[in-house]
This record gives sequence, C-alpha cells and structure tokens, in this order.
Amino acid sequence: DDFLDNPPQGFLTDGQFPESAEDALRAVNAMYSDLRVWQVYYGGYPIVDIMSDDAHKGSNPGDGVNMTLFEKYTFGANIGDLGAWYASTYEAIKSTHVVIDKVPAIEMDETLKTRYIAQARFLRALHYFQLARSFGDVPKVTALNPAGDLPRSPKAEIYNEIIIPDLIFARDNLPTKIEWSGADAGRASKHAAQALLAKAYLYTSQFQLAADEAMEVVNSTLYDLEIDYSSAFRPEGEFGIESVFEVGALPFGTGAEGGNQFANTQSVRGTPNRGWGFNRPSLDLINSFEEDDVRMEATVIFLQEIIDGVLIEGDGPTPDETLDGDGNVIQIETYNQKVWVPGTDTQEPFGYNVKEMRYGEVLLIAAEALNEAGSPGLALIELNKIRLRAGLEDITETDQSILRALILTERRHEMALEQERFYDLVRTANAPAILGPLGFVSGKHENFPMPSSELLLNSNLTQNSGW
Amino acid sequence: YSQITITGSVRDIATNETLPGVTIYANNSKNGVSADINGQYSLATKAADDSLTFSYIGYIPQKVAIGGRTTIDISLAVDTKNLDEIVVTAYGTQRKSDLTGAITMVKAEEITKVPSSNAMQSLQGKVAGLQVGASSGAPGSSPVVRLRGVGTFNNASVLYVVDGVFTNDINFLSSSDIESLTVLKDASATALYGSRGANGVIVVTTKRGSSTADGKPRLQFDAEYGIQVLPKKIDLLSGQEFAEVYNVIYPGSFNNIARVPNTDWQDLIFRKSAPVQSYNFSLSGASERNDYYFGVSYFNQEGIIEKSKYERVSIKLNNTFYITDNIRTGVNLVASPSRSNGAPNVFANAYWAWPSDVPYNPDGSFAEVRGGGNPLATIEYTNSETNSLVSLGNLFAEFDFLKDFTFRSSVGYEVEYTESTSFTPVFFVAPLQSNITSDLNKNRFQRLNWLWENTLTYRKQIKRHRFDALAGITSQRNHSESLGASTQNLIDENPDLWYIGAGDNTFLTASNGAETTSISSYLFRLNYSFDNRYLFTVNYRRDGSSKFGINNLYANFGSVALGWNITNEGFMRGTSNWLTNLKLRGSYGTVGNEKIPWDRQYTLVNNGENGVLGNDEAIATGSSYGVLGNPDLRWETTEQLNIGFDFGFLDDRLTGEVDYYVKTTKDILVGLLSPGHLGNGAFTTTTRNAAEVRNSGLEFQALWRDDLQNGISYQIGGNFATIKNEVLKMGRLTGNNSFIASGALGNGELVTYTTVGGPIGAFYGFKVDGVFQTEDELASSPSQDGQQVGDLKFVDVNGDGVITDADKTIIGSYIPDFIYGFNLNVGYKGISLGFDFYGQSGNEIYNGKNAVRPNQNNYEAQVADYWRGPGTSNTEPRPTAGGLNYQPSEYFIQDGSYFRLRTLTLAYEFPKQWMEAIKVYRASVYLRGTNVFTLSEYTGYSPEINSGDVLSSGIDLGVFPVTSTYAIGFNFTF
Repeated sequence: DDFLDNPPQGFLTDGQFPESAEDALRAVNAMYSDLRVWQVYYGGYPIVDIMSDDAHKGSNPGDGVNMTLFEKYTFGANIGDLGAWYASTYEAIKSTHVVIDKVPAIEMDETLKTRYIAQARFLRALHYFQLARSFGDVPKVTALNPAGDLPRSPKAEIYNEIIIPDLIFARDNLPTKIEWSGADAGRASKHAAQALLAKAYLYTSQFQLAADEAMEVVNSTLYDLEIDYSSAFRPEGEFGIESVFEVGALPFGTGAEGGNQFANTQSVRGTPNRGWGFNRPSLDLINSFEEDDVRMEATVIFLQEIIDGVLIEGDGPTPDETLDGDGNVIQIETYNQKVWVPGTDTQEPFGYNVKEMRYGEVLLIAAEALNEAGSPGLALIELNKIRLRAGLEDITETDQSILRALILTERRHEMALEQERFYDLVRTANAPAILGPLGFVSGKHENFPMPSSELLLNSNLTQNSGW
Repeated sequence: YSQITITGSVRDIATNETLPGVTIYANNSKNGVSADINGQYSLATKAADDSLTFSYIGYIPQKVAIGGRTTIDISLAVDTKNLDEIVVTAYGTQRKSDLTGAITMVKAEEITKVPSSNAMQSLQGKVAGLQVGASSGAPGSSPVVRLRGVGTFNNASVLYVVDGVFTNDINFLSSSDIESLTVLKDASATALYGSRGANGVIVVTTKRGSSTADGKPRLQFDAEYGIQVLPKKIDLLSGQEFAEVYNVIYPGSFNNIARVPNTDWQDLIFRKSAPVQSYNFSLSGASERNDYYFGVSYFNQEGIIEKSKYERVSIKLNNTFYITDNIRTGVNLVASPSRSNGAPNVFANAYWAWPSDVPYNPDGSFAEVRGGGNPLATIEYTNSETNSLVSLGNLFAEFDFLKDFTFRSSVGYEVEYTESTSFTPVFFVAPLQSNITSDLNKNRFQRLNWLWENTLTYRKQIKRHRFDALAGITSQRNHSESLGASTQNLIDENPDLWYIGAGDNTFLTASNGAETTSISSYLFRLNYSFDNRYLFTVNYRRDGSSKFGINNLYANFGSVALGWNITNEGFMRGTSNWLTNLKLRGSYGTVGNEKIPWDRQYTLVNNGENGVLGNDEAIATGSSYGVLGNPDLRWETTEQLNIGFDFGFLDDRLTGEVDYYVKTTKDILVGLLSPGHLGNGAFTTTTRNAAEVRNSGLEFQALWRDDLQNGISYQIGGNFATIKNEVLKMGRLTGNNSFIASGALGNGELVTYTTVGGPIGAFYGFKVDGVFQTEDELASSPSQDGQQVGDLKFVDVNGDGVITDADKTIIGSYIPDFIYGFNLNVGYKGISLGFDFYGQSGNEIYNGKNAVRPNQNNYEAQVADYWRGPGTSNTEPRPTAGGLNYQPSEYFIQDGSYFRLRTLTLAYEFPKQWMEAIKVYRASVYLRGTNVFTLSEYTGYSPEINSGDVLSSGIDLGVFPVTSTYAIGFNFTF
C-alpha cells in the first residue's frame, strides 16, 4: 500500500497541516482572511440596511435587481444570495475549527497556543452570532467534518453553548489591545471579546451581564471616542482609539492580495467612479437626525458635495430624484459616506477596513443594558458621551421606557448604515410598526428563511415559520 | 454393393496430435460419425467407390477417395485463411474460432489509408460501434474516439495498449509501423484491463520481422504526397447584403449600399491548398536466433491557413532474440520527435468579420475590422510553437518451462517532453485589437511512466479439452510535471530573445504542478474450449490504484463469457455446404474507469488565505482547508452484457458478426452541491460517485468477398451500429431536478444540460414554432417581455402561458442514433479500385458561432431572407443585434447527419515478372482521395464537430476545417 500512497504534489493535505507552531499561526491568519469574503455578512448581498428604514437598494435600477427583492420584502427562500451568504459563513466557521481542532495537539509555547485558540473561538462566536440573529435556529457545527444531515439547533442553544462560552474563553485568554503590538495589532483582543459578549447578552436579554461586560470595556480606559465622528471611519482612525475590532484590508485585489469589496460595493457610482453605489441613505434617515447632529453630514454623501476635493456628480442612469405616483420625492441620489475612502481610483475602496465593533457602540450597549437593568442614571452617563461628540445636548430622561426609545434612536444615528438597524428593530420588537409599511411581515421576517438549496441537500433541516 | 467399415485416426498435420471431434461422412451414402476422444473413428458405408469428407472447425476440410481401403488415417491442416485467424486479445492472442468476446481487428493495409498523423483516423467507418471524429482539422490533431457511446461525465477516451504499454494517445506512432489495431469492446475482451478498460481498449501491435524465402532482409520504402483543400466555404452575407440587413437594425448606417465593399474573409485567410506528405523506410527480417524490424518515418502536414504546421519523425525498433529454444528476450521501442505550430484561431473571426470592411488601409497597414477584429492581423501576430519528444517501449524476457508454461517479464515505459513557446508582439490595428506590451509564454511538460508486468501462461490440450490460462502481477507508476512562465515587454521582438530573461521582471509569473499516480494489479484469465464446440472464458483483475480514495484502495473486476460453435455440432453436418460458420457468444462483466478527477479525494490546504494585520497593515500569510475531500472516492464501474453471433456462409465468402450490448456505468463521479454547514463555501461542489448512465446498441458487421473466374476479385463490406445513451441517475443529494449545465458559448449562455432521462450533454433551449407574423399572433401567444413581431416564437412547453427559462427543454444531442460504414474493392490484374464510405445519422450540431452576438457580426446567407412583414418568412426572424432571438433555441440547432466518401483509392501493382528483372520484390503506385465528398445539411465547413469534453460536444464555435486531400503514393519493397 505504500506504493499506492501518492498524495497530491505541491499541496499539503488536511492530515499534514497544521503540525508546527508556524503552521498554527498560518491557520490562525487564514481565519482573518474569511472576514473579507464578499458574501460574508454584508459586503455582498443582502446588505441588511436596505431592509430597514435607513436605506434603499441604491445603485441604478438595472443593477443588482435581486437586491430589490430584499428591499421590498418579496424575496423567497430560493434566492441564491442567501445560500451563498449562509455557506460562506460556515466556510469561515470551518477555518476556526482547523485551529480549534488541530492546534491543541501541536507542541508549542502554551501561552501562544491558548491565544490562537482564543482567537479562533472569538471568530467562531462572531460568525455564529451573525447566523443566529439572521437565521435563528441553525445547524450546530463545533468541529471539522460534521455530518451532512445535521438538523438545526435552537437559537438559544447556539447562544448558550457556542457564542457565550466562546466569548468568555476569548475574554479570559486574549491579550488586551495594547498587549497586541506591532504586527499583531488588529487581532481579536480581550475587550473585543468582552464587547461582543455584552452584545450577545443584550440579544439574549441578560441585561445586567451585558452592562457588566460593556462597563469593563469602558473602565479599561484603553478606548475612547474619536474627537471627530467621521474619523472613526476614515483611514486616520484605522486601528485607532475608537476601534474595538476591525477587519484590516489593503487597496489591492481581493483574496490573497488583501483587498475587501465592502466599500467598493457601496461607494459612489458614476463620477467619481468609486464603486457600485448600493445601500443608499434614505430620506427617512436623513430627516430623522436632529438639526445640529454632525453625524448626518458624516453619514450621507449628497450630489454636488465636495469631499477631499472631489466633486460628487453621481451616476447618469440613476435618477437624481425618484417620485412616487403622487409626485412626491421618495428617494434622492445619495451615497454612504462612511465607506468613503480618499483617493483617486476604484482600487482604493478595497483598502477600507470594516469596523466590526466601535467604542461608540460599546457605550450604547452599556447605556441600553444599564437602562434595562434598572440603572437609567448610569445609562445616561454613557449615552451622553455619544451625544456630546455628535454636537447634541445631554439627555436627562430617566423613565425606562422613554429612555429605551431614545437609546434606540441614538443607535440609529450613531450606527447608521453599519448593518445594525434592521436587527435592532427586530430584537426590540419595533420591526412590525416601523418596517411594516416597507413590507415586513410579523411572524415571518424576524428571521431570514433557511436557503431552499439547503433544504434540498439536507432533509433534516426545517424551515423558519412563515416561510 | 457390400457394406464395408472404414477405421482410422485423425491428426493435426503440424503437431501430429490426434484431433477429437472431427466429422467424417461418406459423400454418397451420407452416413457420418465423429472422431472419438482419441481421434479414432469407425464408419460403416455401403459404397466401395464412395469418398469421405473430413471436416473440423478451423481446419481445411479434406475429401478422400476410399479406393477400396478399410483404414484411412488422415492429417488435417489448420485453415489459416479466415476462421483461424489469430486475433490479438488482452495480454495475448487467440484463434478467432475460440473467441468469446466482441473484438474487431483492423490490419495494416487499412491503417495507412488516411493521410493523418494519427492512425485512429483510418478507423472511421471501419469498426461497428467505434466512433472516430475529428476534433479539428489542424495539422497533427488527434481525433475524438468513442467506443459504444459515452459512459462517463469525465474522461471517456479509450485506452491504448501499444506493445503492452498503456497510453492515452497514439499520435506519436507512424501508421506505417502498425501491424494491427484491435478494438476490444465487451467486458470479456476488456476485463483484463480492469479499472482502465471501461471506455474500451485498442490494442496496437507494431510490425515484427519475419523470415523471407531467400533469407535476406526486406527493405521497404513508401512515399506519399498530397494536397489538402478546403472542401467548402460557409455561405455568408456579402458586403451589400450585410449592409442591407444592418440598415434594418440601425437605419441609415449604410447610405450608399452599391458602394459598400465586399470582402470575402474566407478567401483571404485560407490557402488554395496545403501539402501533406509522408515518407517511410523500413528494414525487417528474421533469422534462426533473431527477428527485427527497424522503421523510420517522416510526416509533414501544413495547415490550410498560414502558420499552422505539424511535422514528426518516428523511429521504430522491434527486436526479438531467441537465446535458446525456450528463452527469448527482446525490445519494442518507438521514439518520436515532433514540432507543431499552433493554428491561429481565426475561423470564428473570419465568420463574424464585416464583409463591408476591407483588410488593409491605403498605406498597406491592417485596417480596423468590425465583428471581432481583422483576421489577417490575428494570423500575422500569432506565433506559437510546440516541440515534443515522446518515446515508448518495453523490454521483455520469456521463458518456457515444464512444456506448457511460459513466464514473461516485461518492463515498459513512456516518456514525454514537451516545450511550447508563444509570443505576441506589440501591435496596434484598432483599440480592441492591439497589444501594448509584448507577451511571452513558455511551458514545459514532462512525463515518465513505467510499468512492470509479470505473467505466467499455461496452454494445454488434453484430448478435446483445450486450456489457456494466464496469471499475472503488474505495477505501474506515472509521474508528470509542468512548469510555465510568462513575461511581457521584451527588450526586443527578435525570436532569439523569446526567453523569459528578456522580459520585464515586474510582469513575471510562473506556475508549476506535478502529479504522481500508481497502480498495482493481479490478473487472471482462463480460456477453456471443449471439442471446439463449447467455449468458456473467465477474466479477473484486481486493481489497487492511488487514484482511489483511501477507503476504497482496491477494486475487483471480472467477466464470464460463453461461446458455442454451432456449426461444429454433428447435427449441423447437413448444412455445411452453405453454412460454414455459426457461433453464438455471450458475455457479462464489470470494467472500471479510473480517468477521474482523483485529487478530489483529498482536502487540500489552500495557501493565500491571508489576513491583513499589524499597525502598518500588512499581509499575514495564512493557510486553511479547501473543499472537503471525499476519501470514499472510487472508480466508475461499467457493467456490460454482450450477446452476439458470428456467421460464415458459402465457404466463408460471406462472413460477419452481430452484437447487442447493454452497458451501464455506475458510480460516475459528479460534482454535487454540498450542504452549506459542511463549510465548503458558496457555489462549490464536492465530488461523489453518484451518477449512472446506460448505453445500449446493436452492431452489425459483414463482408462479402469472391474471386470471379475472369480474374476479377471483389469485396463488399459494411457495418452499422446504433447508439442509445441515457442518464439514469444524477445523485441522490441534489433532488430530482439535479442537472449539470455545460456547453458554454463564451457569452454567458450554457447550451447543454445533462439530467436524468436525457442523453449526456443534450442541447438545451427553447423550441421554436416559427416567427411571430402579426401583432395579433404576438398578443395571443405566450411570449417574453420585449418580444416583437418578426421575433422567434418560442414554445410554451410547460403551458403556463408565459415563456420563461422553465420552457427550455432538450432540443438535440451530439450523440448519433446510428453510425455506419461500407466499402467496395475491385481488383483485376494488379489494378484495384477501392471506396470507403462513412456516415452517421441522428445527431445535432449547435451552431454556436452563429449564436454568439456580443457585437454586431456578419450573418450566414439565409439571414438575407429575413422576416420583413407578415408571411415573408417563418424561419428567419427580423434582424437584431443580439437580444431575445439569440437565447439558446432550436434556431441554432442543425442536423449533424452526414454521409461521406471517406477514401477513394486507385492502385496499380506492377507485375511480378517486371519487378524481378529490376530486383524489386513488390512495387505499387496509387492515387487516393480522402474526404472526397461529404453530404450534409450542416452549413459549417464540416459536420465533424467533436470535443473531448463529453458534457459539451457538438458545439461549433469556429472549428479548424477538416480538409479534403488528394494524394499520390508509391510503395517499393526490395
């Protein structure tokens, strides 16, 4: 049988990797690569903001027509974009399992080894968090090579047995942001895990725990808000004081070269030609900002605006104004300014770093959790840090219910076009009221459907209710 | 008359062994008996003046006058003429009368008939069930060969066994060095090739030396010179016709049609004729201790367009040394260097190019040509050359011992070294036809395969029982490696600088890959024959292959076959005057296909999964697992049932064979989508043994030959075969609607669809029910958004009232319903005239070059009869530039049936007495036409549109035309 053993030449196979400390590092680095895959999260479709009151599909009417189905809530389980998103997320989970399954057996520095595994568990939790809040119950894969006919596990089990334990392990074993230095900057850190853990507690209504975790990030004093709100999104803020976890990217091709099409997908279409122009800020969002809120201008690019010396003229085939049947303006040609990258060519947006977790959001998580946990006074302290930077007056409201609504609005303005609004409305049960007019159906659209391609391939899968 | 009893014995004249079972009958009294187990007989007959006839299958019958004798001993001679032709089989030879399998052997004289670099071209129309079709008319191209349909979605190529060495192509062999090509068709014939036999096997036997009457070596010299011509042009719109059609689409574009130029691009790119020539020299002979054959051949074919050429030298050496009476050793070697210049691919371009544009500017430079660019410029700026050296051979030793045993050990090898260079200079014809920096590509490929086979044979005849057994152990290892590099912006365009070092390093790219596979096997065969009446064959092979997944390293294949020589039965005696031979055969067995995407068994570690990390944002190199491997991966298994009979009538003037087969291939490897949670990523498939395909057909082959009293001899032969191909399964995990879409036209459209119930690679698109004649018809019929009157009317197959993708259906298949060939040869006093015809019927061609309309291109002539108002045309829609009429549909489907005069040969062999005077043993001269005419409705150059990809064949995207050739040749033997 030795004679018949001819492994592929020029390639390692799974049995031969990872075997050394060096291999382990390679396997860990590969997990970060998955964060730049177009179909993962909202680089590609669906950009969930367009399902919220914050944004429209964007681009011109003929491009990306499938996305219109998401905007109008007319998509079905058979839409290919969903299957691609779902499969790519599990592909990213597989990369974490290469580390979680294989690295423990490698003889190497134990501290480093634990840090590698902790990064893997942080990223696995992040991927499962996206799956759970999007699809609800999903197959629970916790190791390499799962069975092909795995049924779905309840969402609560995904939180309780994967997301939360993983994040606790990551919190307890990862270095802080400043302990990661030099070439390791940008790796998952203790407080990134803690911030995501706080968010997971928020999603599972464990408010005191959420508040505790979020406040530990605040009290670490390693983070602060950028003085200028827009700096949080611009190159000068990359891996800056406000960055809790972000995805590094380089202005080259996608894949091995380090580029990310996230900003390219959403950048100004036409003149200047910086991208495809999806995820267009809505009039509803623009009009909802308080008058002095500096965040509106930092969020929305209007036609004829000049940014970094560049005149925004927009796209020819895209109507500057879209009217409804009664002649009312319902959309204007705008673009997402948070993904604006200075520069002169379409390649530059490939270097945009997606901000997965900002300190601004940590403060809002803290505020929300404290209010829900019965400490509105403490909540206001964190909330008003955000308002101060936005150029707005302090809020003093302490009625839990009213404050809850104010915090939700604050989240909308602080986190606009950062793919949180849709999920916020669903988890706070505000979706039917606010998104109903856009097509949201209560009892159905709280979850995306399981892709019908998956149901065909695995007879043990069940569909979400309403689909 | 008194009754007498005659006794005696019957023996084989050569071996002097007794022959049991010989039929003896008295010609007047019609009494008859069979010789007993010891070859003895005793026959009572009335007539003293009677005569006896001794007949036995495989032997020349003898009539003996009794002449008053009571004891008549007789010796019969083997009939070498026909029946006991020795046929090449897997790992050996067999008497034809003993065969149980479906085997067709083609001899040397047929093999050199077609002027081609590849001997397989000569088999077109010669063997029932064997389809040989050109993939291209380019010099040096190998044909696509399919035996008994298509039984896999992967590589369906037959296996060639050249002097015992396994190979995938025989393009390196000179036809003049081949003694015979033997086509092994059924499981009984192929099972000894185990995991490599499922697509059929062609055993190539090269020429050996044999002793001559005068004991001197035999020298042979052959020369042939031919010219190739384009058999037909495609009828395209002229410049004015094109301008008129174009004005319908874009009114006013040509405002003075009378002055529009009329360029015939086909006339410009094709040469009037191109030469093809071959010269062969051989020296052969044998002495008591040695036989030898040495051949040198040169083949040179130029293409029908400039810059395409193939030339090859082939050197052959076969040598056997008879060291002692029971030990032999020898070598069979071929070495073949070749050079080819890749044909510039301008055929689609010349088809698309606007006839209203001219080739040259007034200053002589290439003019801009719409419709894909200026084809002449493409030819001018294409430079491609491939040099190759292939060598194949074996060294063997044989040892006879204990009378009936022979041990043979053979070491075979195949080496290939190929280097190719292509260079594109800087040029500017038009913005879309220009090259800003020069480009250079270099590729190197090398292969070394070796094979070691040890076999033991046992041959024994005990009375009426004949045994022929074989057992063997073999192992083989194949290794190949490729290395490629490319660069740009060379310091100079001089060919002396076409090396990577002369390029600009910033553009340097390189690639490198290698593959090693191995296989180790055990094989066993038993042929048993009782009384020359009942035949039994069993074959078994066990293969271990590195191409199989770790969980299925070994595979077992085998077959059982029975034969019955009915005419050797006593009760058939009365028919022997008209029925010479009738044999029934049946076989069943399994054979495998290991030409599968074997690396899918592994989960590979992908490099380049890089993170971007660090204060200064830099690449952090990463690696992780790619698509999940399938360690259960295994061979594809073909189960084949074959039932056939052989017949010979009228002293074997009419002989033939009929076979029916059903061949079911299971566990076909197919890439299937896998559940997302397995983590293989979006749109990726995993490879599984999941599909099933059935081929079945009836094959018939017959030959009538006779010599007339007046010195005229003639023969008429023919064969036909039906093919039915059906996909039975596509894999359980993908549901009933699973399919493979393939057949990419290059414009985003896929035109083939492989699914359960249809043939492999069926054409898929809309059915067309004419052209919308009126607004009323359009309004009242199912239609698509944007369709107008004058557009193609697609059929609402699912009856839902609208035309959607769901109405696409199977609209054709590249697999013919039947193929046939027949030949006629007449000879008279050294002059002979021969015709070989070939045809196929029931297949379709997708005229892909017509369907691709990325830009406005020229059209075929029938478009001039376009719809221009109600009732004007119900076949040609209104002219459009792309759009709805260019979706995949029956409009682009054409009948691919054809009938062709494959070769026409007029030969003259000089009279022996003349030749003796000038010391020439044999001399002949001939004139030959190849592809003399082809009857076909297809509008392209040739209906031979074949691709090696079984999922997307029969699609014409602008193929290199197959030419007609007219040649003169000489053979001299000294």
